[in-house]
Amino acid sequence: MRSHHARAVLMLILVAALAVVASWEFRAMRQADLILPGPGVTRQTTLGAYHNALLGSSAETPVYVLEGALPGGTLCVLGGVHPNEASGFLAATVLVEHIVVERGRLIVIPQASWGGYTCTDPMEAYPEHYTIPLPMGERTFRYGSRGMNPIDQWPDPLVYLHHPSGQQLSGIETRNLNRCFPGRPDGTYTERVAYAIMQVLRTEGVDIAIDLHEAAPEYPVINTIVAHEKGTEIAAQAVLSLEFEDLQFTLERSPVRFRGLSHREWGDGTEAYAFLMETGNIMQGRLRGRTTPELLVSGIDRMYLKAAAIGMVKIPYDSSGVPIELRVGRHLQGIAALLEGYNDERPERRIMLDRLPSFAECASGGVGAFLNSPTTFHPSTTGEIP
Amino acid sequence: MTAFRFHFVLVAVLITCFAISASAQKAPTFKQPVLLTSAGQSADVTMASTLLKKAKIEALAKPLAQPADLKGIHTLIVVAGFSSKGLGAAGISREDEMNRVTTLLEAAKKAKIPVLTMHLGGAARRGSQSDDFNKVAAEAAAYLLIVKQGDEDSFFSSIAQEKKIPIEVVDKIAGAVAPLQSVIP
Amino acid sequence: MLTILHWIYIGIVAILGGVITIELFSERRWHHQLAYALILVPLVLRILHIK
Repeated sequence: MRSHHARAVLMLILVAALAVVASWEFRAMRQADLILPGPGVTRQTTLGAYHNALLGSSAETPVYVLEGALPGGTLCVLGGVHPNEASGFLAATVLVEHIVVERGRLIVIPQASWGGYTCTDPMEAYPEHYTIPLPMGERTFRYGSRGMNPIDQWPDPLVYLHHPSGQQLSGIETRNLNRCFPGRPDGTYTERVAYAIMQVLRTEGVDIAIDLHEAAPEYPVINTIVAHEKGTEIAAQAVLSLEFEDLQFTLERSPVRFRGLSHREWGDGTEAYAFLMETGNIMQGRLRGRTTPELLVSGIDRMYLKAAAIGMVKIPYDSSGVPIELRVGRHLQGIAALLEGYNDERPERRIMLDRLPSFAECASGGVGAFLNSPTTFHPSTTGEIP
Repeated sequence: MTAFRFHFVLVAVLITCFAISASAQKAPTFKQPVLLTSAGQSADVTMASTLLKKAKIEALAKPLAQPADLKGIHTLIVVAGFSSKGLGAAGISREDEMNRVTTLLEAAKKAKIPVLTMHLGGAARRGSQSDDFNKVAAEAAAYLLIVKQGDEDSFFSSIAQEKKIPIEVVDKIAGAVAPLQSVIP
Repeated sequence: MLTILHWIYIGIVAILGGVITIELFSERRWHHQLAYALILVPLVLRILHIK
């Protein structure tokens, strides 16, 4: 064999080794995050149960149902519509792992954009995982992409035409779940997921639906509740109620002509009061420094300190950063406030949750205090709280 | 001290007392019916509607109120603060909103309808985009009701002092209920 | 949900991969061979539907 042929064979072996290592990394992102259902969970299913086209696919995300002993309305909470917005997923996971429903029903989809957790956004240098400390041990979760995995939906068009409105957006938005509602049963991968979620809201008779998000600290719509017009009174009540807990939220109305977003389409296409909440995430900011798991969890970044000093940051920001426990706490307290407003509006279909952590409890105890430990977790068969 | 100097000082002191009392403007009294509108289309107008309900004051809420809506109205409440999402929700441009607000305020002035301007959104409804609307609404007001966080740089207090407008600054949004009850009996 | 367009793309990638592999074996300069080899990595991952 000539020397350059031998070299070529060696290069191919190198290629194979690199491909194996890279494959291992990419496929590791398909390993599902561990969610340990708490005593409140009475039933677990997947999104495939609401739309057959998703059965056996990479979009089959878990759906948790927590049914109370007393009759009442139904609340649906979504996290992970954007997998790079960690506090929404973590708040939803706390609901699954910690709380109990006294009256009514709670449906939680912690990772709505299941496919988005299997990839990352190019050029963002996001870490693949982050860790939340527990009282005993720690839990590790994936940090995904804003959109669905292009492996599952390819190619992106130049211009994305929203169904059914025909609204035009940049082609990449075709894989953004929060631009694809209400979806369609035979549409793109993302549209099918959106359709399945609409089916959850319709078939389960959801009365109030909340979508949990994060955004860059310089984004003007942040630390906010966005409300469909059906629910603006509830949201206004919630903002006032949150103010008494020293939590500043702004109130935004869902733009009527901006189609595809959860708060718009859920409110228009179902009976549910539809809300979306945003907290501030340094990881999504354009001014951030090194993008590390520690940055995601602590929210401390010296460039944002400088930005805050010149008024470029839309949330309160100081040297203590915006740690994940404050962001998750805001979401959980926000859910409580919206429920309070909803219960005032619809007392005949009240929803009562027990063990819902407050902002103060999250801030002092950390998110890990309300997550189950894999080493000590035993699935509850009696519904008793361990 | 001569008699002249004594009387001069006495008159100067009396004039100063009047000046001090004039700068602490007395809050006017507003009459119902009330028209509630927005300047900038932030959802704070919904917050104001909720506050008015808590204060048991009936108000006709029209975020996109036009001069014709002033017919039969005795008080115009304007909630200042810009929101791009709000403009989107209302389906109008920023320029159209500014035109609407200025036209409405001129019509209210012409019809001698007093304006009560509220700013509830705190720091989030301040800044270059909001302050145009904040300024227009504040300068036309007979009374300003402001949440403290939106006046940390004395934006509204300065306007109040310059234009001699009574101003009430409250710590929290919910704190606006009592002043509303007091000025709109 | 793999479309015909997907398989056409995989076919093109496979042909490109084959062409590059042939060039890899005929090229004598080691640094050019390295460049050809490294190009193959993302093509392989794409064909295997991993990335």
